[in-house]
Amino acid sequence: MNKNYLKYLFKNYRIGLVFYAVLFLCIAGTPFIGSNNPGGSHSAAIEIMLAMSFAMTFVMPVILFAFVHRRRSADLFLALPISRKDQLLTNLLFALIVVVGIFCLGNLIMWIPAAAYVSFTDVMRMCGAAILCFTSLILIHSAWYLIANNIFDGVVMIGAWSAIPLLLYFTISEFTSSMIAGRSGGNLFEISMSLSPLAMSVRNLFSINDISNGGVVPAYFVLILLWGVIGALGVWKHFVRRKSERAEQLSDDPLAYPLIINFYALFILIAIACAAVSERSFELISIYLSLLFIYVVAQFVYRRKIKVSVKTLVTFGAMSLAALIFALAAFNTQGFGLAQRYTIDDNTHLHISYNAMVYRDDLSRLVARKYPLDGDIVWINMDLFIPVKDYEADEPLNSVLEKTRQNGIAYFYSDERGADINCVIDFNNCDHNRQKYSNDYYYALNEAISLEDLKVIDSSPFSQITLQTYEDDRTWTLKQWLERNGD
Amino acid sequence: MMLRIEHLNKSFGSKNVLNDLNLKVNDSSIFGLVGINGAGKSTLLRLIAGVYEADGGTILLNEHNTYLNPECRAEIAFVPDEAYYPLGATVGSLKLLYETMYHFSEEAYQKYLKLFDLDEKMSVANLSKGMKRRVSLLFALALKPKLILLDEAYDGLEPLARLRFKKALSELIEDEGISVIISSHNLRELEDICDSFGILEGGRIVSYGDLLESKEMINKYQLAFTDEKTKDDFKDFDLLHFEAEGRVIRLVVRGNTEDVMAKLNEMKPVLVDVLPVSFEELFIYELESRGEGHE
Repeated sequence: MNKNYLKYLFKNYRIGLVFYAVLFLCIAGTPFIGSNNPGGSHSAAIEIMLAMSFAMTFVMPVILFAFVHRRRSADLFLALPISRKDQLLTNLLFALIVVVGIFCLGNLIMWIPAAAYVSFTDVMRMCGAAILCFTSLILIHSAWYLIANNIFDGVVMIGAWSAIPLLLYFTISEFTSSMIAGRSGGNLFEISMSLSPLAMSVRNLFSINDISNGGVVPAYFVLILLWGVIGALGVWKHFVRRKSERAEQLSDDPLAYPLIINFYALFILIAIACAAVSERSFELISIYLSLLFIYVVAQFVYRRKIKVSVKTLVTFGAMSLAALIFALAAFNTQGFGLAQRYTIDDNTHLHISYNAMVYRDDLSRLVARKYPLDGDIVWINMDLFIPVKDYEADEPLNSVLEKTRQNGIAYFYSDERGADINCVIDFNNCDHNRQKYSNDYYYALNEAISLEDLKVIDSSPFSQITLQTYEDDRTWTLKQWLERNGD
Repeated sequence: MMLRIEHLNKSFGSKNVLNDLNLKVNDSSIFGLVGINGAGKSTLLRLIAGVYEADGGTILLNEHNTYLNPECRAEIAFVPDEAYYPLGATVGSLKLLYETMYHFSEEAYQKYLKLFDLDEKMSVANLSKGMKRRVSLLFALALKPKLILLDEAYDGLEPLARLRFKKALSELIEDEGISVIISSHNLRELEDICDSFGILEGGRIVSYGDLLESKEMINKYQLAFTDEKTKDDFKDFDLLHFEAEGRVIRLVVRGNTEDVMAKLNEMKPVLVDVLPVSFEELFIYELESRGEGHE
């Protein structure tokens, strides 16, 4: 850290700094105006301050490190009598003072009118968490900004890298829903969250402020710290060890455009290929052409040259082919065997629901969706909420439902998939009061559960099977239904 | 020895820009750095200023490595070919960086502000190219450095400003013993101000030394003979340039004038005329003799 340089930064940015601090406090203070609920107003004020501080973790790296991206400013600032290490540390310290310092100051000020409702420990807890999260975010955003060699590309890199978890979530979602029978997503959201220091920080900081925002995940703090370490290594490589002559050059670092463009293209192509293979629809030429166009334009932006090279087309073609082969392989191996992986947590309950639209005279015969809704139709709803241990001990029940699940898997990979019928079964783990759900397996069926099997399920004390008639909107239990029909 | 560069190497990708470059610049000296476009002059100055990191070799300013030792960069004022001025900057606002980071002299600043007809309230964006140059030179001088690096910053100054700057430099050299390295394409201007020079070519300093001595060692000779002569007839000379027009020969020869004249007279010319070379000619003939010159 260099005191003179810090003094320069403060003096140079004093007007902007004062403006931001005043704006920050004024906007954050607005919930208190005319409010007779200081506790609620304090929470709203913290949310505003968090949002503004998150935005500043993107803005500060752009302001403080822009000089390395311009040859003329690099000549001035890199010739200063200060080591690169000190320059980096001073810049980061200044960014932290602006983002974290003003946030913590605002936190303390906003606590004053709400002191009777909010404990000081909570304020300190928020400040501590904010220091960790904002420091990590400033480091990682700075690293992404410094991967590039000019300001525009730097901003693009921050955006592109920040959005990668979203892209992964989209692609993995498409892969699981198209390629793995029964998998509707599972823990994908958590996986994508762990790849996004921003999302994890948002979740935890907003949850500290208000528990209804999903709750604090302590593991996220560890991951945020890890991202901070990665960011620190990144800024060290791309600032301290930076070759100054990179200023105003093409952003050709392996982690810049060369990776970003191909990464985005490949993952979108995988998602498209999965959808195409799963839906048996290979008439996606317009989507491929659109993506190729975007890919080529991205290359123009990267190379600052409007020229279509053979390499670009070949790379895109190769990636398209690879994505298609991947999707075909995944589909033909039942999602690389993942469709047969069925996880049930022993310590929880199992919730299985089944819905089917069938003919009232034959409960195993499914009705086509387009069939007119008249007196012939009945809805079967099954709700089984059973401790896992009981489920595993009940062999007949277990056998019927596993058979149904296997039918669902077979139907998913069959050519008949997508038939115009209403019949689904859903397996979930959940806690004893049905609040927290996990391990969600959802199957469409082309065969309804037979009456015999329904009777087996209905014999379980944990099960409830109801039938709803369309014509008079009445609901029957299976027993009542069978008695009524003389079975 | 104030600035010493040894075995300096610098590449940009696969392009070797500086290759085992060695150079010494003495105290109280104005060194003219010349070379064709792309010879690596700006790269060399940026390396000395600590902006670029060398791939190999050392640059020592009073025995301190300029890249690794940031304190010694406080002794260097680097004026690039295109200086950076922040958006909305005034002459006065630029002072902030220099006064917090360097051994800034307010007294010198005020003195040179007047000398260059500048005002603190002037918006830099509205200044002409020449006036912007004055701003850059103002701060370079106000830092009271031990070494000033001017990358074509001397070009573009109008004669009066150039004269004033030269005067200011002379005073600093006399009073503070500073050194100046000037890279420029305007060799006539350099000739007026430099006492030593270096020609950069192929990533190395191919010729360097005292400007006056070097100029004395290279002369143009115009001769007339009774018969026609070819280049081979002068193979015993250190010939930099040969030109024949009938029986009239024009030569540029490196060597002591008296020795060369004595040898030429042995060839019995009808007429011999000796002319001094300018710095520009010296540069051209040096490069021409190495196959890089301009006709």
